[in-house]
Amino acid sequence: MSKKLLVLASALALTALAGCRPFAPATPPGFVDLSESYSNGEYRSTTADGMVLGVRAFPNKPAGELSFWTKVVENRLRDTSGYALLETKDVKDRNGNAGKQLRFGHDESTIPHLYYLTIFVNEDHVYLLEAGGTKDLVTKHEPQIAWSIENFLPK
Amino acid sequence: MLKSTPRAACGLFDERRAPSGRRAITTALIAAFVTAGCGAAGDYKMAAEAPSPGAYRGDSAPMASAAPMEEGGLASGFRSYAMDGAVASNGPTPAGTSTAPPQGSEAFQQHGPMLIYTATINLAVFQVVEASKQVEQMARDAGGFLARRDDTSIVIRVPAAKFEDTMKRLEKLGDVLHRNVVAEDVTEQFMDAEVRLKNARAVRDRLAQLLEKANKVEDSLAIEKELTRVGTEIETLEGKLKYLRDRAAYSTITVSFQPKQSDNVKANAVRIPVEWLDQLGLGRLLSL
Repeated sequence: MSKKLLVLASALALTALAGCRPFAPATPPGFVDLSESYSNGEYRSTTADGMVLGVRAFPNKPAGELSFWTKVVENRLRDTSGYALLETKDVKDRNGNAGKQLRFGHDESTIPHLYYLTIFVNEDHVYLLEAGGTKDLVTKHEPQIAWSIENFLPK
Repeated sequence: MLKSTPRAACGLFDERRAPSGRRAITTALIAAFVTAGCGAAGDYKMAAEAPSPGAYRGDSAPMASAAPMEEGGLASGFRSYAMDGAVASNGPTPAGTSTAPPQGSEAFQQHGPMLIYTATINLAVFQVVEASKQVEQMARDAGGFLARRDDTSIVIRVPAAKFEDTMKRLEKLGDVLHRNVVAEDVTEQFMDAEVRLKNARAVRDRLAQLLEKANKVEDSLAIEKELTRVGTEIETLEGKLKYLRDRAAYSTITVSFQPKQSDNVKANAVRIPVEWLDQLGLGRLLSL
């Protein structure tokens, strides 16, 4: 009985958590959802070998368009953290809304890593979809990253 | 005669004491040569206006106008600034020409300015190890060499003629966050040192001649002391010329792999006060 209660409580908690989120993330095959460990509706998932996806939503304040937030994020990462901007791509979410994907490279402890930051913006929120890991891992999981973005659903 | 000797008091001789006889002549000669070797700025004019040391001796022996050429050529890629006889002369100046521009300016007109190029390129921190190797290889390909390397930067030196080409290649190496190029004009410094060196060598030669003719021990000692001083000056000037030549012949390029300074960020980029912008990056994402 107590087991059933625990499962029910967990399910309710997840539902509540999902309900708080202004988005519905898409966990690709091979990734495990770690959202339970995070507060504020943040989404995280990972593979066993350390490729990580994350989604966060923030109020669109000050109110800006996609181009504004894209440039702000690009400047911040390049100037402050020394990330190399390798490529910028146009992407779309599950509803067909346009977004931008900034593909950065950065050495972590001399090991080259890739960090893909995808941005969607609507009237209320700025959505950040992060994907990061070693260069080899990210390259290997390119299809899963693309899938998670194509199936991402802002609310 | 002594009183009319220009800049006779280089800290070595007391003008208040009137020397006499042979010693006075020796003293006067040394003073004249010392004068030719003293000072830095204004030497162009001084060299042109100073009477020929031969005049003090009352003979017409030719001045050591053919000071030896600077040893060694310049590295490829830089216009020659070796002494070509057009820099300065110790010979008497014809009347009415003492205010003419220094002859060194002819060399300037012929060769153009002597420039030392230094550049700094700030690349984003990505594949630093590999990029570092490529930078070193670029230096070698250009005929240059690796000057220094650490975890976050590499300094190379390339022939001045390959500077621009190397910069273009480096800028394709990664995401360039910032670049800075400085061209320092050292023409005046170089030519000034050349004039001083030529004069100092002439003084040395004349002192050597005097030493051969000196009969008294005290005269010999005084001349030898002065020879030592002039020798030191020659070495210093030769070192300075070598240093300037080297720096002009090989441009210095520093490739740095690190974020720009926060001060630069404040000056150059938007930094809006949104908290989550400080929570971006791999460090946070990968901390599960």
